Amino acid sequence: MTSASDVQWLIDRMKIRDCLGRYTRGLDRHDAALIASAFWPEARISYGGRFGGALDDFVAWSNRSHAERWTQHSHNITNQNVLFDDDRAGADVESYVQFFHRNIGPGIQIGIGRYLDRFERRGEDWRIIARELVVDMMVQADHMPFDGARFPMGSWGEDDLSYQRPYGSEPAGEEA
Amino acid sequence: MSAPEAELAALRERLERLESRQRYVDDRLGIHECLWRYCRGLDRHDEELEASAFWPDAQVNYGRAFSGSLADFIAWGNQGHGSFFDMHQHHLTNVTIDFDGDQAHVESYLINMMRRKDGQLDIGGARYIDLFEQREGAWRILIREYLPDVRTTGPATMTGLGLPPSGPGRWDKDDLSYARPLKQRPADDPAATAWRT
Repeated sequence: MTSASDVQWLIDRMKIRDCLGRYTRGLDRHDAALIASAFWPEARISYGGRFGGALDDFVAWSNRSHAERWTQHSHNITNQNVLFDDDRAGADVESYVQFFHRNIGPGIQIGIGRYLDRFERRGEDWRIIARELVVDMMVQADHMPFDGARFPMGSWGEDDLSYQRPYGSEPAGEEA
Repeated sequence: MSAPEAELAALRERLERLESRQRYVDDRLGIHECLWRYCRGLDRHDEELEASAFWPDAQVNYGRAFSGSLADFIAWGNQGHGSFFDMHQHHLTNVTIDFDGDQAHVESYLINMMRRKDGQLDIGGARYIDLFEQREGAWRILIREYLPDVRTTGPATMTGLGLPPSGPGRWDKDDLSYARPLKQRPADDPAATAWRT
């Protein structure tokens, strides 16, 4: 049952999941380098009628268009279906995503969609070479007013608490 | 024990430890893949994919709403979803797995979001309680129970129903996720050049 190739499957599978995790973290922190690190340099990205083009343009467009409309957002990867090529040099990956966007105006947007990614392996590294986004649904909902008095709020950039490493070095809030 | 024998015994022990660790990860991931395959099948109304998550002799129980065989369940599930909703996704989050030989007790948290045909939105928190069984190295569901814990229904303002031309999703093989391998769009494809800021 156990063989070296099974171990490789586990590693490949985990690297693909980690790549999507890096992407969503980069996106939610507007960290251009981290977003780009999920793709090969010559990757092409297609977001329906909203965006189509190369990686550099995509990263700039993505951060700008999110900042123009939203004050906070959170992208959550849940289910992930991976179909490897027979030679295991590539894979088609469908990742379910739930996203929550806080409008600049009133309310929040809740959406569900799927990232359809063509992954390519180069050496030990798995990254995206082609991407399509399918948005299955997006709705507007009320936002419960919420401020930073009781909890630290997220931010875009290295001020965000997640960059303060090692964790635990920040003084704890009184009511944390 | 002579020196070479002791060395051999130590190696054997190391190999067994490695194998058992790998089996643990392998089995856990195999169960996750099966659960995700089921959700994908359900959300695309792909009967074959849904069935591939269960053993042929599986039993499925949805409280008083349904109890029966696999084939009946799949027909009932797709028909019910199709008549009530025009879009749905089933997202799994927490999954706890307790192994018991060739069987495993699995609890999976589910968040589902479903757009009803009457324009309202359902958001639910539920759990799948599954008895998994391993046969010839493959893990599939033998018994499934469904527990809906939380459900909210309310009017919803749809602000986006897909980004044409790739979305919203479909319930047939024309859904973009079946286009494999996914290819980069040529530069003259409108979807590859369209910009909207």
